[in-house]
Amino acid sequence: MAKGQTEILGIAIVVVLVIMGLLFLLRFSTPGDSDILKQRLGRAQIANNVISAMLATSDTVCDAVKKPRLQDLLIDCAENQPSGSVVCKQQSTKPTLSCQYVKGVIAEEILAKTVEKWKYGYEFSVKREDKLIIPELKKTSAGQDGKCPAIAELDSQEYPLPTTTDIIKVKLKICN
Amino acid sequence: MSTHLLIMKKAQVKMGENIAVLLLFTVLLVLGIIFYVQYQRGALRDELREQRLKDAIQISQRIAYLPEVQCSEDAIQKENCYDGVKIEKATPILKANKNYYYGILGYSKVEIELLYPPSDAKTILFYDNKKPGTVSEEMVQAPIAVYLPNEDRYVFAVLKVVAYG
Repeated sequence: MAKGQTEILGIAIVVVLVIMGLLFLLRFSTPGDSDILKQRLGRAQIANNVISAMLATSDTVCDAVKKPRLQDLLIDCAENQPSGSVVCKQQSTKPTLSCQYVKGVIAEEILAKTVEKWKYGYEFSVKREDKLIIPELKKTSAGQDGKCPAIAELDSQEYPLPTTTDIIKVKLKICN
Repeated sequence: MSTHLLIMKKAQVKMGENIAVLLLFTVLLVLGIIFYVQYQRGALRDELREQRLKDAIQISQRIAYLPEVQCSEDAIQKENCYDGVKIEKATPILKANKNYYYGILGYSKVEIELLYPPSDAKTILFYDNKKPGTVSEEMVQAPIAVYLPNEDRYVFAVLKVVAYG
């Protein structure tokens, strides 16, 4: 009996050690709170930098003389819905009005070469209250059209832009 | 005689049991040590990576305040503004004075990639000082607006900082 008990005790000790080892492994393989916070701050900072740099960018492709900023084109689009009034690329065979033009530039020249290239998903919108000024731009982190997955962590920045009558909001959400 | 033999056999079995237990214990101990060493290696690699990332972030923040890069008007520096003409002119100066700028930018590579409008698209290698025997490197990228004072306009660009370790 005593022998049997000793053997059972030995097995029990081994089982306890294995469980402790697994718990130890689990503890250090999942990201800690500070890592998650760092990732979130990083995404929020990227969103902030993209919007502020993008809005300040002067577009010589739209008009080499007037060089309107992208924020000016967005404001023009908001004030002259649904297409905008500024004609971009007047000298080319395909002049385009500001709404369609600025949407294309933001999607293909700004977001595609930054957020999308860095394998983040995004949702970009420009709204007056809850109404979209230009169609929402969204991509998943895999590069497919669509919203960020519901379970993904989203971090965003919002910029207000004043028009002559009210304020429109430029918002960029970024997810992993 | 047979009792003696029986006792001998019992003793051998007992010894065999003890040896097996000791062997098992040794194997478990060795596995534990190997696991611990692997874990420590991984943890050290992660720590080094995190340190390189922190270095890259710090360098990108220092660059924003370098007089060689910052926009200015009437001798007053403008925050959060990168002067494209200054950057172009300062690049060869940084190259010629690597030892001085090592104190500010360390072992790192700083590139500014102008993206939009396409007519301005190019990459400026602003600073490059690779550590001899580099074992790790981490990159941080941040969108910025580069101001061209001679044309009074901004270009969309990306600041890339690689920290060497």
